Amino acid sequence: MPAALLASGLTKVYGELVALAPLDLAIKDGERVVMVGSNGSGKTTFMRMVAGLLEPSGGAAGVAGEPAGSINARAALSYLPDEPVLYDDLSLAEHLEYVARLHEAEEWQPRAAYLVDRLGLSHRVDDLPAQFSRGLRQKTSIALALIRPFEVLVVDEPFVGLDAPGRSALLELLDQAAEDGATVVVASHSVEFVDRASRCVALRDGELVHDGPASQADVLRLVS
Amino acid sequence: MSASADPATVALAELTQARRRRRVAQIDAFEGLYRAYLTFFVGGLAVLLLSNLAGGTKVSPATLDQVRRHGPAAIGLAVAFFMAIGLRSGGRGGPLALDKADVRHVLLAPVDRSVALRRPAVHQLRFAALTGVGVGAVSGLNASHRLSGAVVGWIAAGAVTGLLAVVGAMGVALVASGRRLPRPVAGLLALVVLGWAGADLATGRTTSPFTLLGGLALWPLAVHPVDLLGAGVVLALPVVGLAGVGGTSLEASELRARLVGALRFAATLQDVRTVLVLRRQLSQERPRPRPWLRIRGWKPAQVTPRPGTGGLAVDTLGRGPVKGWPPVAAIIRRSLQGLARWPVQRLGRLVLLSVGGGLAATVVWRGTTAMVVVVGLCAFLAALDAIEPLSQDADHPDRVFAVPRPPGQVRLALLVGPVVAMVVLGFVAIGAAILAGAPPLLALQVGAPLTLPVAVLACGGAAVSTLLGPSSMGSGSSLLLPPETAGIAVAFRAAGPPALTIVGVLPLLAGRSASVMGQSAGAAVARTAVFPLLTLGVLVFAFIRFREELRVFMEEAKQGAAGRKTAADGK
Repeated sequence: MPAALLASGLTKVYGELVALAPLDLAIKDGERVVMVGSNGSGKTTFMRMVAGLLEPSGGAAGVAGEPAGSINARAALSYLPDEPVLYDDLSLAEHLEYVARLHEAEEWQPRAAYLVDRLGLSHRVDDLPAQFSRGLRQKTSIALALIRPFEVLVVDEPFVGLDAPGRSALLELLDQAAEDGATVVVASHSVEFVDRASRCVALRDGELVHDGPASQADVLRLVS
Repeated sequence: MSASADPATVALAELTQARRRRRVAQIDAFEGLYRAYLTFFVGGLAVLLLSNLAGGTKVSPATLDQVRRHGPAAIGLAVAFFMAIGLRSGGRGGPLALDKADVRHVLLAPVDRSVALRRPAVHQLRFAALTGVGVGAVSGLNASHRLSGAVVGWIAAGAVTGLLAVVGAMGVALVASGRRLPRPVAGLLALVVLGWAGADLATGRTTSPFTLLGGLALWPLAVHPVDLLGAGVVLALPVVGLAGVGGTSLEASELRARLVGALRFAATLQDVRTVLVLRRQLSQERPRPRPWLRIRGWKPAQVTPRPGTGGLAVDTLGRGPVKGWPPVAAIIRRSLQGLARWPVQRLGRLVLLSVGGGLAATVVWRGTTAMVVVVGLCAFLAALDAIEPLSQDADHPDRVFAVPRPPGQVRLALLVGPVVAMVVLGFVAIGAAILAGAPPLLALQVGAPLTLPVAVLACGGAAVSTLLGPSSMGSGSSLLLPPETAGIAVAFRAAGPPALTIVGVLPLLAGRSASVMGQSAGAAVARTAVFPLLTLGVLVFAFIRFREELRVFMEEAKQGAAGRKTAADGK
């Protein structure tokens, strides 16, 4: 079975700046991985390359045996970016319906109802998320990442801007995705997901400095 | 500076002088001369092109009589339009655009704000006055080609009217912002001003100062000293505005300082989409929270979450390769949901553009060929607004690139709703032409076959402009080109998309020629519009569909060539 996520010599260079040094990494199906590193360590660059949003300067990335960014890879991978990307002119309900139908999700209505309820958005479904606060926009973004079918869930700094109930709901949803068999990769400065992860990948200045199990104390040391 | 001036005001004056000295010192003499050369080059070319817009045939005595009777009110309506724009801008804190640092440091300092703001206000007024004089003089020159009277007289009358119209508009904006007129009041006053000038045009009477100002523009035909009254009223506006400029809202100034700087930068890069988005932010134009028309869709109340139904759609077995088109109905529905949330300002703007296009088309029909450019530009500008759903995907590629389909397929489906909207607006333009005196049957016969091709080409051109983004002048291979050549390439890229729309309007000329020869105008328009233009539209849409694949192909070809060159160098 191919790896859920595979990076072979994956590199990103901007002029003189090496955002990601050649990285070899294989994440197995169903793994829960936490990716840690300080600002500018290369986490977001890695995630945007496996999502197909950034083109590698060298090497290659694969998703479920398909080249990253290809149509089948896009069907398998759901990417939740650090900054919510929303339409100005669609309500929350319209966003969910559009994304679900665009990804040809089946039986998405109960899932949509569950997600808005779990994230505390039920009373805002007719409002325009583009005019929400940062936290509510983040919750909308989470719902959009989870409404569509996926095998690999790649999440970048998901806890930013969330209140305590939001953080708790997100952790529960990430657990649920993993229990349902998805591969979950979370990049975060916070240590909240560390105890739930089976593996920790740490980057520093674009280079891999740790790959294996890690405690919260290890993570704090690796990030500092 | 008087001895009694307070220290803060003295410091402000000294700071302003020091900054000006530094700016002047930083100008390189050769660069300055080169800029002047480029300005004369571009300006001369523009004057040469614009001075012959109206054509050279003198109008008939009957038309001249009509110009004498209705011209002042028609020009007055145009002046009133400028005033309405000024009022609208003033209601939002315009027209001043200050440096962000000035807002933070100068306007928060204990300095009289009237003193602090008067200098930038005068600066902006001076620039606007120069623009008004230039545009007015060129308009006067054009008028002299078709109307009797001395050329110099027409140029002078045009320049004076242009000056007064622009300075008046800036003045009324300063009055509105200095007196902090609430936005609805400023909007209402703008409507009153337009209505007053419109009433003069409809009734043939002269009651508004704008009609008097319009009379001043036609002095080469007939001199009426009373027209000077209109000039006096309009000239009073900047004086009153400057006197009360200190009342301008700090909040509005800060917002404008942030957005106007970005807007100018985007305009410099010819980034049409960014200009549009920033302009909307500047005028606080947001989608309606409640749509005009609710398109039935999912509501959580319809489905109560039950245990076991909320599971996520994790499909670890894989669903097989993705094939076929994306769900087009869902994408069309999304674009219609977007259209249903158009704010009232955008709706009004699109209707105005359609009316403007319809009126310009009647002028084309009456002999001024160059007005096809105006018709095409009106359609293109309307399409830039209409293709908003596609533009939002272009703004945030994260979304469209997450869809497991070629982006071109999604983008094409996103254009269906806007094309339908543009066809509807085409009929608004036909209605405007009928109201302007075009025979209804002829207007329908000529206009109806044009609506779809113009809608397709306008949306296609607008989509191409948005997807291509700003030109890359100043980077890559364009750095090796001389400015004149690179400039022409950039101009071609900027002018290409609107030119597509203008091509869509050209069958109007075929219809006019057929009409002159006593043949069926409608048949001539249909013959030249439907097949050739729709074919062109299909080509434009094919470019939108395959643009991403083309980009990847070109990129790979470039990398392949670079690789071969490296290998050859190594041998």
